[in-house]
Amino acid sequence: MEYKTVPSICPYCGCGCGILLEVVEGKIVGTLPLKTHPINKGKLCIKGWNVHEFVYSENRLTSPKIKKDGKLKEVDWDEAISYAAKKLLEIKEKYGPNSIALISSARCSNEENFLMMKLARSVLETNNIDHCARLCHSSTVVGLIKTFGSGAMSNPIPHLEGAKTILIFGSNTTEAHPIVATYIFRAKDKGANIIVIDPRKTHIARIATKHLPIKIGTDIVLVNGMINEIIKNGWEDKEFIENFTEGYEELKKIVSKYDLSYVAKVTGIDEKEIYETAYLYAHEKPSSIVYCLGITQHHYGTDNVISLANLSMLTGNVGKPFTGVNPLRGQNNVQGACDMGCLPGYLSGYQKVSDDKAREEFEKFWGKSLPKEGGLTVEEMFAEALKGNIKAMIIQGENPLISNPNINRVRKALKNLEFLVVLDIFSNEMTEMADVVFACASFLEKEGTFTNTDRRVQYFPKVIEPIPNTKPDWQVISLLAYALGSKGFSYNSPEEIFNEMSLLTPIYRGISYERLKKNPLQWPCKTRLDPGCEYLHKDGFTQGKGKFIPVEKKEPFEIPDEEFPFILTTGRTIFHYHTATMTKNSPSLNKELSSVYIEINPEDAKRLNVEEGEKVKVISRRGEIEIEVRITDNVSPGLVYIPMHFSESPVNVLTSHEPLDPQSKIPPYKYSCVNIKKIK
Amino acid sequence: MENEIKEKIKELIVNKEVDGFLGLRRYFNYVVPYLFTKENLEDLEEFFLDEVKYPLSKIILKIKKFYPDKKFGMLVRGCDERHLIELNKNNRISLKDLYLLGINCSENMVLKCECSSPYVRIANISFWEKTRGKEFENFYKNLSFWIEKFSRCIKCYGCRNICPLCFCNNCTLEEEFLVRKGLLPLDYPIFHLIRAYHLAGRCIDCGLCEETCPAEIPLRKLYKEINKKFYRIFGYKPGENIEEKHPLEFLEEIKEKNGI
Repeated sequence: MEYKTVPSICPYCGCGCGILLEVVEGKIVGTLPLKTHPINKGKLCIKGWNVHEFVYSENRLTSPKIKKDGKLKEVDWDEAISYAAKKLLEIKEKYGPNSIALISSARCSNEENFLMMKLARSVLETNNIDHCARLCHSSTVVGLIKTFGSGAMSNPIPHLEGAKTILIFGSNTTEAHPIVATYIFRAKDKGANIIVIDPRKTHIARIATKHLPIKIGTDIVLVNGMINEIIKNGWEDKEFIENFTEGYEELKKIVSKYDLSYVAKVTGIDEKEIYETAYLYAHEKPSSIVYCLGITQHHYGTDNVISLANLSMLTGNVGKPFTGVNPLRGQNNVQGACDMGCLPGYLSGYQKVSDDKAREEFEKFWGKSLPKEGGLTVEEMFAEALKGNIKAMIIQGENPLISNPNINRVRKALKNLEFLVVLDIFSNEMTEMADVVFACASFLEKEGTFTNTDRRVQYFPKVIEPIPNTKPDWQVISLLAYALGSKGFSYNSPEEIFNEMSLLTPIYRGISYERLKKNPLQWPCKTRLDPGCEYLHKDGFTQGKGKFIPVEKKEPFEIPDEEFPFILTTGRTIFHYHTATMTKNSPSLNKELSSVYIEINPEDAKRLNVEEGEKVKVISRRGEIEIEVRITDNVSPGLVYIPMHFSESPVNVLTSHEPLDPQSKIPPYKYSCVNIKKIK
Repeated sequence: MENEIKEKIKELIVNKEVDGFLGLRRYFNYVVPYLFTKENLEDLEEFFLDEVKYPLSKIILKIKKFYPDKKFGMLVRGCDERHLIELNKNNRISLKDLYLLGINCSENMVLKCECSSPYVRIANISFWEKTRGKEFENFYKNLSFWIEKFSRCIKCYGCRNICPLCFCNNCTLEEEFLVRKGLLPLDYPIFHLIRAYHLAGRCIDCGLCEETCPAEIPLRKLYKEINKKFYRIFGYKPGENIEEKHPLEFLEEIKEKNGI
């Protein structure tokens, strides 16, 4: 007889909620919210409540596979590993190390991401390693490093409760980060101004005290307008600017042309509303900025982020409790995957690959010389695969055939590869394309650490044994590295990997499993006595002075015309998670929503003569999909919206992979021009 | 006191008065539900009492499903006991099969939970002094207050999932003709009113729903208002009396008994 509950961390969004798995005789039978967890305090969203449902799905991969004569055949682990190693070595030998590229997984643990990074750099000898942060918050990392010196959420989630004004840019917080929204609700109940800037009337916009329905992609103009208004009226925090920042005069000069009437015209927001928002943000302090992909996923995403950083420094709303610039990170461990150096230009802890001193530390420890030149980002990998320069890829727990822009192009790129290795827990579009599939264990079947959106490193224990014939990713990577001839991967446990990582990573150096089992810790945490960092930039910015960087209005890469008259934007729903690999295998979530839809304004629907639930064809310059209509005033006339998630109507067939943001290489997901056609 | 409780649990298990005891234990820095059995008696070292409430009476129902023939003991506060009284009336569990180890709540908890009866009454044994309950101010607010609160709902179903008295096999909240699926904002207030109606004369005011609501909807206060009305009309208060039954759900039985 056994009934126990085991604490773990929710594997979906970046909130990092505590969950309890109910286990009866070694089998998980339910999920409960973890009551005393510092973030969710006993609350969960529908995904969290149903975490246990995907584990025993019949769609789980239960054996490694090799493609023989065009068909995937189940093989044993030895064969799969040695075959993969043999092919990778051949390709490396024939075309050089930079013909191989790796994509790690923001859903896997820190330890596993660190190993992917180590595999790429020390074994395959390439810096071609990246992951999906490139597609969601790479512009955050670049933008905030440039202005503040650190690319992470500045304040902890619970600080939102204490803010008097919260500006929410391009984040449907209730759906995408439900438990972050809880703190926003609490702030509202205490009388805070909740101002949502979003072209859609999202769920959070409906609850806000003010909703500014901005014309899509004009955020820089709005923010520059607010900055100008604040300076003009003398509302800036002069002392803060003087003591902690540089570049103010330059900013002042550039924003002076963004007067209210111009800004109102470009953004479509009333002058009075812009004035009031600027006033509230500068006066009713502490003020906090929360933002998400509506800011980052543009080909000028980095400039968008920088403009928000400018606004916060101007009013002294950063480096203090209940303030900050707070990007909400997507996956449970996307912060961690960045921290672990699964980025072409960085080793773990944001140590530049090009920095000889940093690289030498790793070289000494690993006894290998590491490549110095920066590698390829995700979209560049596919571009090079199309050109035939990338010959092999290792893709871990990610499904670019749903999640990357211009899916048709991704498919072409993947087909062009000589060799594709996929690690996953489910069979999906990616495993079908793979030459070798490794059947991995889920987070419930292994231990490790995740780092959530507010830099909180959290330990999760193994709850059950791996599903038969699956292996945790850290073991798969280690076996592969060994087969590739490396001696440096003989780990007995994730803890050994963590210890190696923390030694080589100053911002994690003070963190250990022993400490994490007592309490989560927020990095930077540099010594064993360091309590961790609740909020960043407390006594001046990470890089010394905060840097004002003036940014200017940017133009869209395509504009609506007769052929493609609608603007399409994309996002998440609360009921599913990203490519739905896990959530569509969860019956409770599928019961709620099992297909996606296009949101169309009633006026447009009338003009197109389409009805609720009717299937229409949506066409862009990249491709076309068929999808059901949902008629709603969530979108204004001319704007349409499709959530991602399902392979039946994958919105990313329509989105564009170019132009990339020159600074961060993020693609412009949030904006494309489409046409909608009735199916006769 | 904690040691006394541990000793008692040990005694119950060793003397085979119960096959398992549902309590709380420390796990890392958390306090979580756990079933103590003779196989894991040494884990009693980790037994821990904290001012944290888990839906233990819902958990015992689940455990009973896996082990219908076993006898269990469990830790109960006043609210857990009231859950069990209602579950017993509804034939979901038999109080006779349970050994209830009661703990009365501290004054701090009374304030935190806004609890009017923070003590056990039918437990087989009880620990700690009874503290006095507290009645709280009327909460009735206007329509726009409630509409704003309902509109925040993110449809997690947490209020239902956590509630020990939500035990129906088919949940009306999932009837598509009443509440459409996959929508946010969801259909309100119908979603919330269905649940409020179902809890009229059933809710024992434990507060688990409100604590678990990510949208911070004051659900408990809503149910409390409704239950006050219910009491005024039908003179029935759930969780109070083991014998007395819900006047609407057991109408036939009551009619027969009273010769109506």
